[in-house]
Amino acid sequence: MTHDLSLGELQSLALKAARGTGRPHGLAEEAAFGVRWLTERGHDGAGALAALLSETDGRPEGCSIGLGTALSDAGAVPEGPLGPVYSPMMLLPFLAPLCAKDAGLSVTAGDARLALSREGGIEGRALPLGLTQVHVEPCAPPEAGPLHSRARVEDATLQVLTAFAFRTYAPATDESRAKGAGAGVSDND
Amino acid sequence: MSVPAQQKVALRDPQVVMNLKRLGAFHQSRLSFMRILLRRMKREGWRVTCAEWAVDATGVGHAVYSAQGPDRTYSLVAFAHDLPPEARSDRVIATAWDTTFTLFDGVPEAADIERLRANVPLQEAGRITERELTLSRANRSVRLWDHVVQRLAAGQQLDLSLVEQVGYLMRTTAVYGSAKFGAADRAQIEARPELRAPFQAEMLTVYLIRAFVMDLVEHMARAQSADAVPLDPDVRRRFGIGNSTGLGMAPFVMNHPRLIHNWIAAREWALAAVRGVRQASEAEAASFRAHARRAEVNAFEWQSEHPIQQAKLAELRGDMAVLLGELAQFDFEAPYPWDRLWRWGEMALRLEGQEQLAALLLEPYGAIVDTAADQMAADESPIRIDGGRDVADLRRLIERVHPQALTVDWDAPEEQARVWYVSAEKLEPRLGERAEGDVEPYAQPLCPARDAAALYAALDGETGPVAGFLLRHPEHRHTVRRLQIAETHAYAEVRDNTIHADMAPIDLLRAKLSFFGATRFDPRSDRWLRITMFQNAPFPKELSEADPDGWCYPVS
Repeated sequence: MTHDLSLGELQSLALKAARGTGRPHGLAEEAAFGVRWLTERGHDGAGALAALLSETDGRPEGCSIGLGTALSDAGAVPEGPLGPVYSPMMLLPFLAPLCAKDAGLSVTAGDARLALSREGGIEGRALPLGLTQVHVEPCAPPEAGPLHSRARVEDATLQVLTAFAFRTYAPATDESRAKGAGAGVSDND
Repeated sequence: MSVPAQQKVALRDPQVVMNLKRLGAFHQSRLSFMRILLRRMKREGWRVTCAEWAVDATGVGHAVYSAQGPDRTYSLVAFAHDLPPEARSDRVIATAWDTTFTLFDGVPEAADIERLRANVPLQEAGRITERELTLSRANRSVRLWDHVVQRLAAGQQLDLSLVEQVGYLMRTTAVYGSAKFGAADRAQIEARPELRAPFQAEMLTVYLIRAFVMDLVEHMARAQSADAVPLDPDVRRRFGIGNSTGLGMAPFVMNHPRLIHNWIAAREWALAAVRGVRQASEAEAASFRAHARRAEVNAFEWQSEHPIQQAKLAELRGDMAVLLGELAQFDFEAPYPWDRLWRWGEMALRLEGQEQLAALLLEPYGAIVDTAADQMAADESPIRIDGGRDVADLRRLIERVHPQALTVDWDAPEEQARVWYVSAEKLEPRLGERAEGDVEPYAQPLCPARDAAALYAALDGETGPVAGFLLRHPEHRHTVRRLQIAETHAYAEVRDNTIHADMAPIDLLRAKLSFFGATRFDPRSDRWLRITMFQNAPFPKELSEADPDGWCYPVS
């Protein structure tokens, strides 16, 4: 079973889910953006994030978002293998802007390889979800296709993300119910 | 933004504009979203029709109102319910309402209506799709609804004092837009000219809800009696749509820095453009005077029982008297009259009066300022952090954007007294007390000033590029991004402490609601309030003959 979600809904859920695993807000924002970016390009961003969060809940080792943002901040792809990281698909949103003008990057993880362009074109097989080393080298840029406007999210994925997201909500108490949102005066008039 | 030739005046300093007290004194203006919508609908000759009416004599059923513009049609699908009085609550934790709505992209077919009937009445517990742009609900004003039905059924008109006291027959308790509960993403519709300005789908929803509600009340009167009369058109226009808004809207101001910048920059640009006008025509001066008198009437008609708002109303009324006194002897013929008047106002008026003056100065100058509406939308996709910059730049940026935050003793209990968090119950945003303990782990990053000060402290002794710092301190990533936005978006950040013990969330709400075009801002506590939308506005069928801006102040 899959669910039809708006991209904004998915992005908001992904932000909370990443927060729920203890990631700082700024990294969680990047995770949410990354999920949306992959989804718009027809890939299962939600599934990639759910797998990553499940493996790295409460510990930063092997986090493709941490690695992706570090590369993005540094503004360059270093020589040699990257990682290993979980869900290397989550690297793509951060690698794409690092492609040289009119060039692409070939990204290999395990036995899967895909080509990536600066405009966000992706050609090739989705990368594996497990902990994998990643090799990146220049290649011809693939064409960027039209963007998808909705997300189809697997039920199991949605459950994982929702459970992580739920950790960011404070349990309701009678006191917070009464005071927190500011009620207390009759609103039935 | 294009700057006309006469622009000589600098925009106001963001340190002056972006503090809570001033944000809490903002007024609706020509650049408010309701006015942007009605100007377009009139200019383009939109046709609004009741395409379907299937409401029975008990007031239960559905109706469809279609608004046809030059390129596309949008339809309000309205469901009317039989709500037991004990279930009526404006809180977001309510589960049933008198009426529920969605704005459909196009004209719905029977199958769409059935799909929506199974979901829209459930609101947050239902699902809508990319064919829908908004999801909303409204409850009756118990005080007024029964009075209106009974009077009309008896063939009589209304007790106007009661109408004035309330101002609406129904109030919406939420108008959800972009991407919420499955609705279309803004990205899907933002290229359409009619939805490019912010919140146009939401404003159109409320405008059509108002037309539906007035038709519904007349329908209910007719169902009671064959002698029922319709509302007198002049009285009918006095009804707006109420809105109850709680804390949920306040985080929006901090969560959308680029959007907020664009709203405020557009208005500040407009103010500067008018101040830069060298010579005012007689007609422009007369228009300004007339609007000022009407704003004074508004200040007196505007009622609130809340002490914070009563103090603000006293300030506004006092300031309006001072302003009208000045206008009686003001020389409009000497060069740069509006700049002189503005600079006088900065000395002679308090915050309420100054901000009312800022809004009034735009009124005679639609031809100059209305195009600023085109600049109020924002691309909010996350900006890439420029990690190559040196941390020294970041330090200087904090000194420039948040000088006040660097002087605060953040260890003092009152400075960090509050915690913004989201409750597990219907995901309602709430504000708690840090000292009470249990909500701290759920804190949302909604205090840019405190976070900037914390980053500044963490940067002590650091050297090298931002990228290296963030690798060691990912906890500051959100704040670094905000600051890099604020570097080029002067009005993006609230400078005040948004978690101070004395912070009143209603100040944030007023800033946002003024841009909607709300009037009669009426706080019921320091964190929730009621407003009125489209009160005195022409109804859709009257729009072609009416002034799309003239309704925003009462007639003096």
